[in-house]
Amino acid sequence: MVYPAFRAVYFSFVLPNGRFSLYYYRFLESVGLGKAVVDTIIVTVGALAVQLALALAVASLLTKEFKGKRAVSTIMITPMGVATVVAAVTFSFIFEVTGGYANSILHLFGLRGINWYANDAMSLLVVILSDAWKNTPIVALILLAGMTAIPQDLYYAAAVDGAGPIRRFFYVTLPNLREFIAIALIIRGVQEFNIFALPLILIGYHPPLLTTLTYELYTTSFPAVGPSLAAATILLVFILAFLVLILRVRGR
Amino acid sequence: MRASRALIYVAAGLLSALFLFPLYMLILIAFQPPKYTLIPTYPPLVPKELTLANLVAALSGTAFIDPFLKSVETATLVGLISLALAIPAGYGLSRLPSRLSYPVLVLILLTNIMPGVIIGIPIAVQFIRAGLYETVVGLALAQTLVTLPLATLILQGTFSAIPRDLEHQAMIDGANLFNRLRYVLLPNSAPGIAAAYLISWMFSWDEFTYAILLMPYHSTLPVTIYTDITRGNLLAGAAFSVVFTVPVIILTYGLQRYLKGQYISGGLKGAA
Amino acid sequence: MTIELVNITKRYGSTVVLNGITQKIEDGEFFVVLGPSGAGKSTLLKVIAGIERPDSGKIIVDGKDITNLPPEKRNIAMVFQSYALYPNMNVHDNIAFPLKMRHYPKDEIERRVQQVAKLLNITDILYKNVTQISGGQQQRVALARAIVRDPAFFLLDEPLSNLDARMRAIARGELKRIHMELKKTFVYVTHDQKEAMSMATRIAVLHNGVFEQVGTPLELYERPTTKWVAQFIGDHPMNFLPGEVVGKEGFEVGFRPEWVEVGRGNLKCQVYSLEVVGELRYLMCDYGESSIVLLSREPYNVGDTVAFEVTRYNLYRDGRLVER
Repeated sequence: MVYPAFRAVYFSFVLPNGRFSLYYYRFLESVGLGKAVVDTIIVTVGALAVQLALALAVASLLTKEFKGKRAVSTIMITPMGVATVVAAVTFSFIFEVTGGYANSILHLFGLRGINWYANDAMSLLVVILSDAWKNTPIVALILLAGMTAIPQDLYYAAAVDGAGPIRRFFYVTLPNLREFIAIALIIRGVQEFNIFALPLILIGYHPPLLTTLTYELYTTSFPAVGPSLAAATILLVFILAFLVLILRVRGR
Repeated sequence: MRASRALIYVAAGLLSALFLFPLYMLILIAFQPPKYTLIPTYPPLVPKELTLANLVAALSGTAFIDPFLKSVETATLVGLISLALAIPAGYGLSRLPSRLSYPVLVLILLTNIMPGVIIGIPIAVQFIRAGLYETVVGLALAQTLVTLPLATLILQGTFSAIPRDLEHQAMIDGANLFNRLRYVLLPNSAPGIAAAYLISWMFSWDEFTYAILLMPYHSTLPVTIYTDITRGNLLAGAAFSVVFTVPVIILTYGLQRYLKGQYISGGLKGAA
Repeated sequence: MTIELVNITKRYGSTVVLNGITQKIEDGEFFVVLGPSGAGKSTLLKVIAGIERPDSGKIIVDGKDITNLPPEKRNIAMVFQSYALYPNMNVHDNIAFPLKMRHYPKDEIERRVQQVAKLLNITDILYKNVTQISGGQQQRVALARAIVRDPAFFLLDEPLSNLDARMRAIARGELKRIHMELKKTFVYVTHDQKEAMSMATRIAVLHNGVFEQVGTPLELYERPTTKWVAQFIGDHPMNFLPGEVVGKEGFEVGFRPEWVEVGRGNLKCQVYSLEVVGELRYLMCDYGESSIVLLSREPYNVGDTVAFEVTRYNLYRDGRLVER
């Protein structure tokens, strides 16, 4: 697994004539590397934020007992069984500007349909939302595992001390979930940097992400793989930086 | 107190709707004639007319069968290869003291951080040279790289649950390694093995990145769906998607014990 | 089958668990290895079985050195504390397994399984799954599986600890009966001295990696060679008082609760607790700074000051028995 990665990184620095050079990297700048980097970061951070928030809500819900909980809990993992491609296709239908169901819903409430791809920010939002749908369940499962491990007594003590449900959430639930949130962030964060099928189907190459940029370069400049490898290497660097960041913050 | 109860049910309803919604949309598109789905500006949210025409048109003919079979072959191979490698690895790890096995497990799981795109490209180059490009075997090998860590983790958990005493007893009873495997180890780890196989299988079925990098032309179903969509063959794409997804959702519901349960969250609690 | 342990040493990390154990176990003995939990008793059994290899030393069975044989090839049966029954098989198949592994013909297997099931009274559960039977029944199945093979000798690792007290007493009797019927060598490990005392032909007390004393139950009870053994063996530990009380300065005297005469004598102690057993009473007394236990037929009570005299004792110096 590591061997091809080393080859990839190595070859991103080597010209066809065998000399070391940053040529490929400079070339990237001319095709919009900066933008791709920014977009990738936006998507990753945005997606993680949305998923974390939603998953907290879902997990909190699932710690309570109510009728039909089993059904909800099963429904909740539906997205895990839907192939990424299928989800991407479905959401591309939903977010169609004309003939899309998202706009139908808005129409239902008397609003006009929006152009979901009007600008780069909106397009990225579409990616973030679709990705959140597919991946919130797994984050929710991780957080749920953490929540069920929190002893009830802590909540009782907080309630007796006068803390309402909101404060109990912030002062009891969240602190005890730190380790699990970290795990979820690590697992999903790395996967977020790597999303590929979803953006490819939803927004194509514009606005670019590091993954789609890599692919675009690969298909257009094949068999010269230098530029694409350079893009991929930069992606790898970001992932590693991300990991280091999380581990540092966690204080391992 | 009443208000918060109501809130729970509202939240539950909302979330359920949210998670089922997109699937519902897909079904709407696949099972209605296009004049209700793709053509109007605001397609109706309630089914107006159901038809199987889309499905029939899409599924008949080689355009579907070939990719479908490719997906099945690849997924089955991935499942088997993953097992073949993960069973011995998982067993070995389960018998090591946790001082040693824990860092090894972490290391193995770390390999999953490699972006598919960065590994896929050199692999594609190598495969072309080795004649593995555009082959089911090649793709299966690449995908196995990704499924192996999780499968190993699951099997390590499974084997850890089998007490050492049982193996010792079998040794004393005169069973050699083969018999120990046959009569003691494998029968008692069957559920874990099944879970590892199915999870690997499902991952391969879903997999896109390596498929598109290593088998771009006559590919598995996910890539075919993609090419259909980009070519504007939306209905076919939708129809394939439905057929593609239904077995997997059923499998997912069936496997939910393993997805939620022992192996993964147990491992998480150990890590946390 | 005689078993000879020659200089068995086993280390775990920096701890020496077994330190040069050398011992001969005679044919047909019920040899009990007794020791506190974690002393290395199970390790010793595993070494004899072949599951663990000793760092040094040899194991010789009937003159043959089996130290380098894998467990499958040693003709030994072992019963684990957890019973290690195969959960995926029923009782019958569990018992038949060792025979199957050794390629016995089918009808022979059937005959033996039935025979053993009758011996242990488990014929009625032969076709139940092993997870569905009680602890006591599981224990008997484990035993049956060990016996069915007619092995050279038996190793038992605390097979009774998972039973409740009542079952334990019954099982003890049954084990002894089986031992006498089979006339084979049993090597039995336990931390329960009562169990050891009631079943063993000889007991080896394992402490600090060595056999601190090896002898019959009576020997261990009446003439323990070290203070540690004296206080480990017996329902009540042996009492130890300074030698002055019997006129032997420079020594310690050890005496059992029943080796005293209560009611007369020039020693006095105060009762702080009682144990009533039928018409006898064990009096827990404070004598100066020590606590001792005396056996009496008189109805003394807590708070009473009792006079006593030591009529029988052993002499100890530096914790070791001094021969008279």
